[in-house]
Amino acid sequence: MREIVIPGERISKAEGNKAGFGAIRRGSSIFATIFGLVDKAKEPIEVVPLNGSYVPHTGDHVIGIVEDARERGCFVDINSAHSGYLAYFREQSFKKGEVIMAEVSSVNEIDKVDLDFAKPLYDGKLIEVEPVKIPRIIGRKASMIGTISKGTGCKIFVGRNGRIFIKGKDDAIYRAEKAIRIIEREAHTSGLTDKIKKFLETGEIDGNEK
Amino acid sequence: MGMKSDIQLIKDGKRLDGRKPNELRDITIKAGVLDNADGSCYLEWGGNKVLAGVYGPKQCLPRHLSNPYKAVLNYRYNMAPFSVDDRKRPGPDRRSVEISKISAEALERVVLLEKFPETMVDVYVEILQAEAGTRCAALTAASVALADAGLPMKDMVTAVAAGKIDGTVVLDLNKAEDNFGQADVPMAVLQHSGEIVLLQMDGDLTQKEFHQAATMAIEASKKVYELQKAALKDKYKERGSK
Repeated sequence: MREIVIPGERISKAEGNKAGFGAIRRGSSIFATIFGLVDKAKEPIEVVPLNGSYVPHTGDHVIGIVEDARERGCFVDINSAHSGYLAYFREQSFKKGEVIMAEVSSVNEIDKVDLDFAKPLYDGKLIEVEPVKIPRIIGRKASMIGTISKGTGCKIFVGRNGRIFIKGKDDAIYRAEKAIRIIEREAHTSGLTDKIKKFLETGEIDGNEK
Repeated sequence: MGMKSDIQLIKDGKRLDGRKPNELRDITIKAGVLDNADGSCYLEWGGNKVLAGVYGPKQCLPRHLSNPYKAVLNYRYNMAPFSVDDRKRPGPDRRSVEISKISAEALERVVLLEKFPETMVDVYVEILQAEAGTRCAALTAASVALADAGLPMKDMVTAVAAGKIDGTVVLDLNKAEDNFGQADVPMAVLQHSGEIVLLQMDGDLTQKEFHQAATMAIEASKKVYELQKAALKDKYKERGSK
């Protein structure tokens, strides 16, 4: 059973529990530090945020927009407080404004980000969602995104930083975006996969047309 | 404060607006009211109407202000020209600069800024209507907006004022009491640690009276805290039931 907690709220009094993301131990109790959902039975105790900006971690796949192209690399806007730097590999180069998918290769002490394994994304639509909703959009073992992909025939690239790139026919892109917006709006509720399946089959949400 | 008048502020143990000495004004809080801000809150506290918006953490500008150890917290307290009886000249003045500074320092105590080095967090609080106690209302709203923005915090900041009118220590002064009363003590408290992160005093109180006022404000802050909590939780309950 998941509960909503606010910063400073006591989650557990138990001595043995460990504090994970979004929680701190003070004395013998564990307190939440962020506004989010918590499963008290889990160990360590973690708070899943309901809102918040993207914080880069090594290994994340992100979708960025080239801000500033230089001789040997480029600065990429990755929807975070700092832009990432991509050092070009061999003959590779990107122009300002290009959309790329890349992997975060390192994040240093002051959150400066280096990117690697970049490839350009083109002929599609770039949409932005709340970064905290990305795990829900991907789903367990990519089930949710697979459902949308299969249901609409689109190719979908998801970046951890809250950017999604959809490739396909115009009406298919429209339906895929609509499905993603439903997940974004109702990310904290259960039974979403079935709802999305139904929407993709019939075009209806909870019995209402669109 | 300190203005002379013949008005009797307490009659038969009741105040001008019918409240008991330790009674708060009506408070309503709503979280997540602005689409374009990362976090927001609308708060009504008696006649005060306050709107708070939070942006960030984002790139720190101007760059020379950035701190490699933690984020910079900017707090802007601003009164709308139409918020008071006589038009308030727009823009920062001595009073709002002071309030912005102390409120920012109060919030710096709770927001875990060291998690976001070289960035900044902007907190904008607009006073749409003022009726005494705006700095407390603003700080209470800003704290809800920060939590709504998903920023990590040690605790929530809850601010309440206490004061003295007609020789009696009372809670949460309204406009007449603020103008003609003898003292006003705004106070911001953290619920779990009991830390006091903002404390000012206008007027005079004896040591005993001050103690009484502080106890009263801390006690009342618990009620305000429950409202802050309910406001944040309601945001998702409403959406979830749809």
